[in-house]
Amino acid sequence: MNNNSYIPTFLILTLVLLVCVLANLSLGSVAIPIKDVVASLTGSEVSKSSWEFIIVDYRLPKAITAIIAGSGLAVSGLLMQTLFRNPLAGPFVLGISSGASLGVALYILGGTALGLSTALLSGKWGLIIAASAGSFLVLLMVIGVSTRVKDTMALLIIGLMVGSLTSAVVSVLAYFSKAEELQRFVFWSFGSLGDLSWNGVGILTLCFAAGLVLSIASLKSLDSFLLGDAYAKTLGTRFSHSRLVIIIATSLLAGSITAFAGPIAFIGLAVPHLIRQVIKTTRHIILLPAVIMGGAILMLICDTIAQVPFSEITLPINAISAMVGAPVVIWLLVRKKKLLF
Amino acid sequence: MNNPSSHSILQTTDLSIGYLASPVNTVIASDINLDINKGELVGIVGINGAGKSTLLRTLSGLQPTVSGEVTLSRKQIKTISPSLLAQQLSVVLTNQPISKNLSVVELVALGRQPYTNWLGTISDTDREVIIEALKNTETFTLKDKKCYELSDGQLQRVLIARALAQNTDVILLDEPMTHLDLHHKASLLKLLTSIAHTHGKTILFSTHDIPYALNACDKMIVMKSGTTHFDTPSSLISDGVFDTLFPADNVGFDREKRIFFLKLSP
Repeated sequence: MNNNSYIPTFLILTLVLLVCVLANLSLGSVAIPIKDVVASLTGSEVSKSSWEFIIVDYRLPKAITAIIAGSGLAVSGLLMQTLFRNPLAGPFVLGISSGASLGVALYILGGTALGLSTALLSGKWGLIIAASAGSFLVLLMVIGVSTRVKDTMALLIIGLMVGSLTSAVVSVLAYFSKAEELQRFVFWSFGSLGDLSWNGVGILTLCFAAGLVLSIASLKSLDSFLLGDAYAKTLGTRFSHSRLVIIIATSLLAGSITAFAGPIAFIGLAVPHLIRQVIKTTRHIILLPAVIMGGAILMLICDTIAQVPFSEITLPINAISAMVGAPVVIWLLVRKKKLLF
Repeated sequence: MNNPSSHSILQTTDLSIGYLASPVNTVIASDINLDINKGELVGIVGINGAGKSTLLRTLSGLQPTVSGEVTLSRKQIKTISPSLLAQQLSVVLTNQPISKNLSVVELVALGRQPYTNWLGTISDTDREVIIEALKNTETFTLKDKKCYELSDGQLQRVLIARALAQNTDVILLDEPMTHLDLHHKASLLKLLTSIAHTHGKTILFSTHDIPYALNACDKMIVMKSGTTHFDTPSSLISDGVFDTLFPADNVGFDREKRIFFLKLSP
């Protein structure tokens, strides 16, 4: 019950996060010494002017995107695990990523398959708008259903079914589309943190902040949800209202991140479980900041691996996050025999 | 019933309970008229499916009434806001999907939610109430354990501690004695009696252990085939309510000894 006992853990998390940020900025196809990384961040003299350019215009927005993507996905994972009282729930259980996939599939593949012209929107922003529209539509559907369905578990199954439905539609679209379109879609589904301009980072930050504010407003009701729907109601929680706010927060976080960076697997599922290993409380006021930091750390590590230090190669971030995340979940299951939420 | 005494706290008027559905509502029991006083220990008994849980859920406001009214401290329960209701009425439910990762003290602390600020910060007063609730239920030594480490009986007591921490005038318990051995059944009944009689809380609980309830309760609610009887145990016995509670070819009732017996030999 004593909040002060978590201070050392938070200090260590902050330190690890700082190290990860510096390592992420320093490592890549060109290794930049830490002192020059710090110099370009503080605006001092940098040994090579090209280094300053790499840091400020490429690696820094990428690192910020990684921090936001990791934190946002981890927070929505925590919210979903508590809301559905299911340790296997993640940010995508409501069908948010499948909605985004459908939007992008319609945008990239729909041209040939449906005979539509998508020339109106081109380039990166067209993709982002398509992904946002897709996840927003699925979200509206889920919210519509959630006001009618009283049972939270039914909502989980509906989310999974919507996911299956949309991936079926995506498969049909893929079957009828041209090879180069298919390639573009597959590249989007790999996920990418590095394609964002400072403008894009700004918009993503706004969505992240809004999602975070809603999550903080839900802290107390999240605690009551740990006792199940009936107890939460008798503790004075405005149940349907709180559930709706939590769903909107998740959708804002996971939806905007998926739109900008593509579907990134396992971070949302794994981070809350990893944090529960270090912080033995169920109170969300402690868990939320810890999960934010944990998500940022894990995503930065994944991104540092994905950019393969000292080589020209960049691996798909979605593959790296799954390679890191899936073993973590298996390890937790083998070691602890069961996952708790 | 329409003229409650000053001690009256929980009342029902021509209450029908069941499930609202179109085109036809399912009514489980109707014409329920109760008038429960402060500080009374009330047992709810009846065969499986008689509507004990439905009655408790309806009284707690978790389930809408089919018709009729439930009033708590002279206010219709459906007009009381959830946050105010949570300061007047608490529940102890079994088989809820609670997070087993909660520690005992965290679970009991959740009982303070109706009184805490928007972040759920626990004040010194809250902490005292929590410690007292833990001590009253003899769970203080378990306070740092996680719920997955507890036995059924311990968890049951912790859930009661949570309801005590909620500090409400009325506590409703759904089958609190299931999964408990005789020793823990006795200590639970003692605990409920002392909460009702020393602390002046009104307690309603459903149970299948009718003989124990007959000895401990001030009043009883007997539910059978859609009708409901509400009176003191001795009046209910002399009215013969228990004689026909179970089908007569299988179970009989001994009014003197206040026990049921099985009719096994043909």
